[in-house]
Amino acid sequence: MGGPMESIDALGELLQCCAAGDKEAFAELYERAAPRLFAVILRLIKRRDQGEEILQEAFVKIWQHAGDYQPERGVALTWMTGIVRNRSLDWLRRSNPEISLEGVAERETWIDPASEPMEEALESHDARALWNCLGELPAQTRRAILLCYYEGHTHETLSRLMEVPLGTVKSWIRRALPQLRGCLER
Amino acid sequence: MISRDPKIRETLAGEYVLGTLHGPARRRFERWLEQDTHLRALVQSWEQHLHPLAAGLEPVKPPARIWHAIRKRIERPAARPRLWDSLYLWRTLGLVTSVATAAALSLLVMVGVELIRYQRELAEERELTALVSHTDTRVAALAGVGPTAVRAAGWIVWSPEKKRGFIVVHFLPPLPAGQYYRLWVVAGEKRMPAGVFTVDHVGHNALTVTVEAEEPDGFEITPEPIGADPTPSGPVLMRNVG
Repeated sequence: MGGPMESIDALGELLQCCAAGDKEAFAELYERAAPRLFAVILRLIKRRDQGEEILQEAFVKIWQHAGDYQPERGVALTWMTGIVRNRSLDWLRRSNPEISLEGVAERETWIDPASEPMEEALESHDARALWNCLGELPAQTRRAILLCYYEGHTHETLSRLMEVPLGTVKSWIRRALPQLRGCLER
Repeated sequence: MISRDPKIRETLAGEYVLGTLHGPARRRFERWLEQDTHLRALVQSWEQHLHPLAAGLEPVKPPARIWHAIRKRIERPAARPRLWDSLYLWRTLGLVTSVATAAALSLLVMVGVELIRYQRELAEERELTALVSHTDTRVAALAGVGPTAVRAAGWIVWSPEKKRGFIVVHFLPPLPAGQYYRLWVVAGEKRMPAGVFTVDHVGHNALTVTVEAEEPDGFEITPEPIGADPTPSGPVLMRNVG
């Protein structure tokens, strides 16, 4: 995630300034990162009103905990993505809305490394490596992983959507994770 | 208690980041996370592996009202900021408004602000104490360079083993919007970025920085845009002396 390895992580630098209480840096951080994080939230929870609430809460948390960010553990956008995803998943699981199985096919069309947003994302070394490793998984397993990540599916909803037994979905994911890590750390 | 089996821990950490854990399993896992540093490291490593997926999403510009709400919240952070957004609270206040209540709430806000500031300062002080008491700690004085920074002065203390440092600067000139001061570690012809900062109205700041070089030849400070190329582009306004 982020730019090429040799460039400076601009968001990380802004977080560093936020940790020192710099509100101008926080405004710039929001300007640069909020549209990407808002996209993550909306993709997961599909509700704009609640998405706005989550984005607001997440950025207040980012401001208050900027000092916890450790650059040696990864780029800043990853750290912030973790915060918004956890808040979105907490909301999804807490309010337990019925995850819509409608429109999934349309939304899946972009999950294609040849699509325009993906081409841009693949400029990042980490994203390219991840997509290469996903490409080594069986097609059904890859689809299951992507649907969980982007759409917030649980094993149960995935089993209904993909029309396979629950145990099959669980074993796909449990086999895929060590395989992915092995590939990414090769 | 979570299993010690590395395979189970690995899978659970991956599933947590992927989002498939839910209900009691997710809550239980989060309780384990609070107490288990190894498990936290596994989660962080899965986040590094999986979150690049998010980079492929088309960005969505949020409405301006979100930023206005965030700015209000950080201007006066209360210990429990959501309280201020509560319609119920304000309706209740309308019924029982009294000077005493308002005063008590103001006090709560002030305590919240002070608490956050105090926690930050405490963490900074702890890090500085650990740094200066380390056996290999070194120190260098910094001085202003050029007419705009002639009054600037400061110092940096750093530990080659910890690769961490603490820098204090005074009387650096204010910078235009979008520009930040960047500290560079000088090693021969190379300049390695070591952290960015801004200064207050008297040109002061004190902060922790990263010092990657084992034997730096010196330190320099230049004004730079955020995320600029990892080579200095602005004039040197401070460097080490002596």
